[in-house]
Amino acid sequence: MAKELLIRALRGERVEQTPWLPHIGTHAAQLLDVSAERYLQDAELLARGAVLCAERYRCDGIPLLDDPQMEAIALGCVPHWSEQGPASIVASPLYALPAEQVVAQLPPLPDETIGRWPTVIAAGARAKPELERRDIALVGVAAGPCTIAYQIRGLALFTDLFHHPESAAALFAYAGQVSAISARIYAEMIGCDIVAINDTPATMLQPSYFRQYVLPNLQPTWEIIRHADKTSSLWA
Amino acid sequence: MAGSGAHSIAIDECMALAYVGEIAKEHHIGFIGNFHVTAVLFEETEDPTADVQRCMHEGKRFPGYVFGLGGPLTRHIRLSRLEEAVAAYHVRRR
Repeated sequence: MAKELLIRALRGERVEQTPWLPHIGTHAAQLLDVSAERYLQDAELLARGAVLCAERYRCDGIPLLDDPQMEAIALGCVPHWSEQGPASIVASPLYALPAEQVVAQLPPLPDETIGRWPTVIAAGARAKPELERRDIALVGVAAGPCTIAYQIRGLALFTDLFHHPESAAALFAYAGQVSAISARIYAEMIGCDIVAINDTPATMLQPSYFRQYVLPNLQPTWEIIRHADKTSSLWA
Repeated sequence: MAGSGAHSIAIDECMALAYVGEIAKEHHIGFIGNFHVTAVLFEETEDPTADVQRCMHEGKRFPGYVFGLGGPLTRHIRLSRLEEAVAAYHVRRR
């Protein structure tokens, strides 16, 4: 009932009770009394953290992992881990490159064997049955196209938009593919009920840029989520 | 955002929830938000339950409303303040 209520509301329906879904970040690390660095890289802690938060706050859905840097680190960005929050990106693989070279230097597209994906998949396998038993939706949170493009290109992304729009467009298209791969892993492999795309940096773009660079590159992700019969959300 | 093709959107604490509710209703999508995490969980002066009341009052007027935080919890908070807020939400859930 709780899960169904949340899904119906997220699909725009007026429901009998107001459901609740927290943007949980690294809060579970505090509850588990471990560092965020350890929590974010440990399948058992991620699974325990999701179940613990869901039970403690009586949520209708809970994110498995809420780390906007996950994809970027898998693509070669250098993290600086933190005690309480998600890692910061301190070096980006495409940052120092001239815009003309960006497309040729894009990292290979990731898959479920890369970076922290095996950990996240293992965490999902543990958390999903526990949450299902409690009628709580499991939520996958993937980085959006602007987040990924910004993290692997750094601030140069924003000058590319003015001076090298073709290079920027190619980078956003690549980032959209990465985002869609994450959505596929969450929806099809882990079986998340809801897949959210977290794309906060997209709010820094003016509307015309959002429409040109972000919107088309979200569509493959929505298509994957729809095809898997899951529910989508855009967080910004 | 509302017309992006997603079933729902989540918004940060800078947006007016009622304004977003109107847009969400127009697009037949759900919307999540936007309890003020920064103000009520890290400071000790504001009553955390007042912002729950704001969210529920404004959000519940529209179909598709889901109570949520206006930002991620990325540093340690006073647990009692979040617990108070969540308790206030559960009272108003119906």
